Amino acid sequence: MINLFSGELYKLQKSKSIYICCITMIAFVLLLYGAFATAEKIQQGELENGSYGFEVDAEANHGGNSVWEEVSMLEVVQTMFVGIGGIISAIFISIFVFGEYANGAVKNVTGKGYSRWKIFSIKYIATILAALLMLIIMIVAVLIAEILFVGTGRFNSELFSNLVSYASMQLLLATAFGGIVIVINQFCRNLGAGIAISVCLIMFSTIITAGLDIALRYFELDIKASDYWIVDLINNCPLNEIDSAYATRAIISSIIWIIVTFIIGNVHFQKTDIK
Amino acid sequence: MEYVLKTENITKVYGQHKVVNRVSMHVKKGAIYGFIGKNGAGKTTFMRMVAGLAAPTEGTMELFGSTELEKQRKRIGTLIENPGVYANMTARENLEVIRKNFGITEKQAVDDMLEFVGLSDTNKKKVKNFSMGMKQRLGIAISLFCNPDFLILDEPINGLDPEGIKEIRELLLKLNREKGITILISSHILGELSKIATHYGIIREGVLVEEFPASDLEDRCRRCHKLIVDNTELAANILENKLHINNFDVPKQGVIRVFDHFETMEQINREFILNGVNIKESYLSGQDLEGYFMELLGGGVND
Amino acid sequence: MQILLIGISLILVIVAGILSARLWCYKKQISHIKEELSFLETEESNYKLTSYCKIGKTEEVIQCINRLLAQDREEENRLKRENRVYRESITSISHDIRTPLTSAKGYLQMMQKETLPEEKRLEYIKIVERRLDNLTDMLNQLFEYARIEAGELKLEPEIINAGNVFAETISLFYEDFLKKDCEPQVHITENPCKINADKHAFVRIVENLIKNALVHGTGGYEFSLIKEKEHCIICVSNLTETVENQDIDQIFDRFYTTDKSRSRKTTGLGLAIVKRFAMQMCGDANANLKGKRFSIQVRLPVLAEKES
Repeated sequence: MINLFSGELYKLQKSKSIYICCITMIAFVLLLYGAFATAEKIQQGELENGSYGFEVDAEANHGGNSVWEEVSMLEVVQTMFVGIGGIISAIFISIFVFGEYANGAVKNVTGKGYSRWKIFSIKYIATILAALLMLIIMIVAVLIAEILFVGTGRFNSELFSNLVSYASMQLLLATAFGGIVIVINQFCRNLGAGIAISVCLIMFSTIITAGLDIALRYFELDIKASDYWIVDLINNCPLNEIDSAYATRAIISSIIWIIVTFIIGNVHFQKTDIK
Repeated sequence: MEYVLKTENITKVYGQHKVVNRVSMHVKKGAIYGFIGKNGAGKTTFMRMVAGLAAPTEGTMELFGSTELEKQRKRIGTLIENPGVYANMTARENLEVIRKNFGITEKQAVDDMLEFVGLSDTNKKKVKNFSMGMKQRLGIAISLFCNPDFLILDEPINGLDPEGIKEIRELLLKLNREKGITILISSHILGELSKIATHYGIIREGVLVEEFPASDLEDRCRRCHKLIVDNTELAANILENKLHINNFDVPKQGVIRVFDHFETMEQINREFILNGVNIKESYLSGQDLEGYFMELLGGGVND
Repeated sequence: MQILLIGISLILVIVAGILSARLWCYKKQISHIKEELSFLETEESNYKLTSYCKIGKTEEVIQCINRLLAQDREEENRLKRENRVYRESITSISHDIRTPLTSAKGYLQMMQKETLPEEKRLEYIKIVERRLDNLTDMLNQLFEYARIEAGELKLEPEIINAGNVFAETISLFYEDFLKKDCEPQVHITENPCKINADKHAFVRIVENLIKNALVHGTGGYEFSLIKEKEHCIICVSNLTETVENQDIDQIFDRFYTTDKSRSRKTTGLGLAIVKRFAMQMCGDANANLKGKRFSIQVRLPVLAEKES
């Protein structure tokens, strides 16, 4: 098992997509911060309104408050997790899983002494860990960007404790979502389809759950689908002081989704014929 | 342990179609087993089942005399259809992944293997930019990497130029002779197979129609005067005692094959008739390899 | 105070964790190695040991064992090969010995006919003589090789001028080359090449090389003797139709011959003797094939100038 894992690590090291995805994430973070910094400068009058294509509407901004007061670091982290972070990790996972089947590389390790469930489990774990690593790099990038653009002025223990709890929750949810993406790609061994379906899930699945909510309420059932769907949970994670109700729901749902995807993926891999 | 591979009624059904139908194959240790069949006859599917890539619908198999298939599969190297590679990595990196996956400690093994198959100058070239021949060599390198005792090769010379084919042939012979590696090789290039195979297995529409050692092949294809008669014993007697011809055999009742004295065909015919043996057919027979196989693969066996 | 305690206990927990992890790794690795070794004990296989996890020096141990395994297998293969060749050779040599004898006997029987004309009888006598000479040569070679192997042949080194002896020996074969209509190109270095060697062995080396070239080569004979730093290198090369790349490794093996039909009455010992003698004189022999040109080089250590 350790050998399989070391093989996966090597593959990750040598795959370009992981580096590109990380760089993209960092670029986005810098872009966001850059945008805010520019808006701030315009706000404070250091730059003319309209420079670099930015126009700041002073009234909409509560009468000239600093941009930095409106946008906290945590909110940047949230934007990243809810938007770009999810999409890029989904793309990376799809590319990585597809690479196994694209040219049949998985043939070399299947049926050579390792049982199929070991092979799949290690691939699952390695992929998830890589995705999590990317997200952690993203958080670190936000921290560094904060220091670069704003300085350490806004740092305090409350911020950090909120950051830690928010990030941990999101990483757990990301694990569950990663599992779902892996299973999707396992079933349709087609890169385009895999990426498309995953991205669509991120963007549109909440609409479906909202619809389900309505249906459930119509039938006078007390549960909400959106309470248990990963993407919804990711979107609705509270920034400050996560309440215990939400926490329980999120943790239990994540664990269930992780277990379910793990089992489904394993069973599928057991039975399938490897081309 | 006499047989490296022994299968019993292995069957694979896809939907309604029996792709592999009750195949019972026997591959002896140290043999080079030539697996012959038309496209779609079920060769690849069968080999994939032996390699553990697909599960048989029915039937059992034994590897190296044991039923613990997973454990014994560590000793098998395979190259089935296209070689399994990571297209965006170089040849060296691909082999390195294999090395890590199987816990092979010798770091030098990768470079040694690349040199062995002739890919040591590829360096930074990614596999997706390899020619077909190079990919095939990499596939062979991968199959040999874990020091196998049994090689399963599905059309390994597919896409190679004549020089490459010769190299592979020599390599396989060397491996078989020096390391005692048993080889199961499928191909539809009969000429090449006949140069190295020690045994043959013919598959037709999923059924293993025949299995025999190469020495038999010569026997079956020999040039002979073939006679279909009604009284085999009398005919044999006439040949031996009256005509003093000893170089003949009786493959089955009613069939006599005389292996020389082709110039005395008429005399034989005459003697038979004069002594009361009725001749149904009398002709010169003898095939080349290809003819023999075409017969087995195509229509029924003419005998 | 509390923080210190917590800190210390945390560190202890971590250390304990690391140590137990390492222990687990060692245990797993050892049981993995044991499993593989017991497998190798019972089965004849090409399998080499693999590692379960990288811990301590266990991987180096695995590599050592693998090297030992490789040596063992190589040795086994060599023995198998040699045995096979040996058995085949006994058969061929007895055939080779029988053939000239049978032929000679046949001629003798013919000579017993009273009606045989005198010239024919003389001719047959000459043929019988040739057959027996040929047989004697073969048997001599066989016995010489057997004696070398048994260590019975003691070399008596003396200081000889390699170039001169080389030239003399080549000239002995002048007639044979004339018959084959292939004059060899000979190049001997001007520098005096003094070697400390048994003259008989040296002559035998040159003789066997030339005989080999004559019997198996098709033409383009080139013989040379040059001095390279501390070695004197004899090179005998010719064009060949029968030697192939896979023969090169075995060309110095005893009884090895590329003449599959053994029609040319060779024992396959000529080059084996060359190599043995060369090595006994602290030198070496190797062969290579470039296209159709086959060459053998024998290198022997040269005496330093002041010593002579």
